[in-house]
Formats: sequence, structure tokens, C-alpha cells
Amino acid sequence: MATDLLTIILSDTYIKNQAEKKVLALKNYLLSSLFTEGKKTMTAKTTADNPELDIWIKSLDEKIIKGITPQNVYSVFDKTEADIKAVEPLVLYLPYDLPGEEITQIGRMLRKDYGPKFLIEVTIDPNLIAGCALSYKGIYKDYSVKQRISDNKEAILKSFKQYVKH
Amino acid sequence: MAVISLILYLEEYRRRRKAKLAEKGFQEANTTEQKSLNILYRAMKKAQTIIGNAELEGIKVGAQNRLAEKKAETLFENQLSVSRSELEKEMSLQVNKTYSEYIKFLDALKEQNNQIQAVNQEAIKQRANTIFDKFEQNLGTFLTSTEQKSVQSIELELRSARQLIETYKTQQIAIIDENIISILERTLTLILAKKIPLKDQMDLVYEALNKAKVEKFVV
Repeated sequence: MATDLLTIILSDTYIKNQAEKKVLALKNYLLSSLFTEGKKTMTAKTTADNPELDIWIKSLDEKIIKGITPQNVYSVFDKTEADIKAVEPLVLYLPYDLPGEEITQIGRMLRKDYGPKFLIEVTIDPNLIAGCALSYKGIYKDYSVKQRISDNKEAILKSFKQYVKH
Repeated sequence: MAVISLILYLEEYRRRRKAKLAEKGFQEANTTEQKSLNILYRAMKKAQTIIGNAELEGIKVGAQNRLAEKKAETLFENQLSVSRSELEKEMSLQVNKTYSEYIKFLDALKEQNNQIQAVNQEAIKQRANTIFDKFEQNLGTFLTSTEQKSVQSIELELRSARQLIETYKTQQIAIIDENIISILERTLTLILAKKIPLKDQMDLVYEALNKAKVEKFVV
């Protein structure tokens, strides 16, 4: 059950903190519906402050929801949270925020290369100018335009100085 | 004096003898007295003779003595005069000789003094020359050393100044270079943030991810 839930959550989620938010929102929703109203229903109250999560929860398969009972709800979510926490995300440093569609494309591409449970984290760094930098397991690698300028600093300065001389 | 004492003694003896005989007996006195008186008379005669002779002899001796004394005086004076003359002569000779020797000694001393003075002057001259030579040599060495040190110091200062200028120049160039790069980066940041198409940005991201894959950055 926990594996199924994780698969469902990660199927359209590529950013780690979004996956964690989804798990938490679903957990709150199910706990609320299981222990306060006495029955499971997709019309139960979800999260008032995030309409996207509400939509996502309502779009879930009823079978999955029904498989979670008051007896296994905690163990299922503990396991799911632990699995997500165990995933080492690739931190993607971008000069500005990208639309969700582009993030999804990037996520899909990465999962093709590194597996179905691969997650990313997005951090904005305007100094990068363009392109991106990556960080994985504490190792940082800059592939941005800023780094390219730095790598080619001598050549840039040389051409600049030639221009200045003339 | 001795004669007078002897006469007085004999007179006293005769008086006492006479008194003694008068006490013993007048009888035997005539003959004995006569004899005694004869003896005494002869003795007195003899004594007077002796005295006279003695006086004469004394006068004679005195005269002789005076004569001898005079002779001796004369002789002594003569001898003394001769001796004095000889002594004076000898002394004069000795004085002249001594004076001459003294003059010679003085001359020798003067000569020796001149020689010593000359030697001293020469020694002083040599010493002075040596000192001057050594001083000149030391001064030359000192001046050369000072010159070398000064030149070295100036060269060191110049080198340090050149190095400082070079360092300053390098630092300034580095700062200018950094500024150029910073200006370039800032300009690109300002322009590309607004102007770069999303597709180009995505292409750059894909390119970066592919590079990371090739480099096996994610393992």
C-alpha cells in the first residue's frame, strides 16, 4: 500500500518538497476523513490554503483512498514519508523560476536517466545569469553562463583589451 | 822641671838626715856628717853639672829643634809649593784632559743624539707613511664598501619600488579585469533575465544536465 501511494505521488511530482507537501496534505485529509467523519469521501475538506493540492487529492484514484484504513494510515504515511526523505534530490540552481511545465519536462528527463523515484529541488540564484548549476550529495557543479564567463575570463579580457587598444 | 824636682828632693833628704843624726848622737856626727856633706856636695856638684849640661843640652836641642823645624818648614813649604805646582799642573792637565774628553763626549753625545734623532725622524716618517698608507687603504676600502653598499641599497630600493609598482599595476589590472567581468556579468544578468527566451534557457539546462550525465555527476 505504501509503495503504491509513493508511486502515485511521484508519478506527477518531481520536486521533493512538493512531494512532501502532497504526502502531508493527503495524510491530513485522510486522518480528518477517517477519524472525524467516520467514513471516507472525496468530498471531505482538504487544504483551504492550497487549491492545487485540493485538486490533486480529488483527482486520486478511489481505490487507493479506500485501501487506507484507520488501522494502517499511520504506518502507510510513516513509510511513505521515510521513503521520500530517503531520496537524495538533485538540487537545481536556476537564475529565475521556470514554469511548472518546464520543471515537469526536466523531471521526466531525469527520471529516464536515474530512475522513477528521482527527485529534484529548485533554488533560485539570479547571479547565474542563464543555464543552471547542480548540487548532488553535497557536491556543487556550476554549468551556468556565469561559470562559462569565469572559465573564459582570459579570452574575454583579451578580446576586450584588443578592442580597447584599437 | 825634673831637675828642679830632683834638687828639691835631695835638699829635703839632706835636712831630714841632718835632723836624724842630731837626735842619735852628736859624736858620730862630725865624721859622718863630713862625709855625707862631701858626698852631698859632690852630688850637688854633679847635679848642677848635670843640670847645666841638661840645660845646655836642652837649649841645644831646642835650637836644633827650632832649626830643624825651620828647615822642615822650609822643606815642607818647598815640597808643598812643588806639590802644589805639580798638583796644579796635574790638575790643569787633568782638567784640560777631562774638559777635552768632556767636549769629545759631548760631541759624541751630540753625534749620537743627531743619529738617534735622524733614526727617530726616519722611524717617525716611516711610521707616519705607514699610517697614512694604511689610512688611505682603509679609507679606500671604506669608501668602496660604502659605495657598494649604497649602490646595493639603491638597487634594492629600486627593485623594491619596481616590484611595488609592478604589484600595484598587477593588482590594478586584476581589479580592472574583475570590474570588467563584473560589469559584463551584471549587464548580462540584467539583460538576459528579461530577454533570454525560455527555450534558450531550457536548452542551456538540458545541456548542463547532459554534461552532468556524461561526467557521471549523479551516481
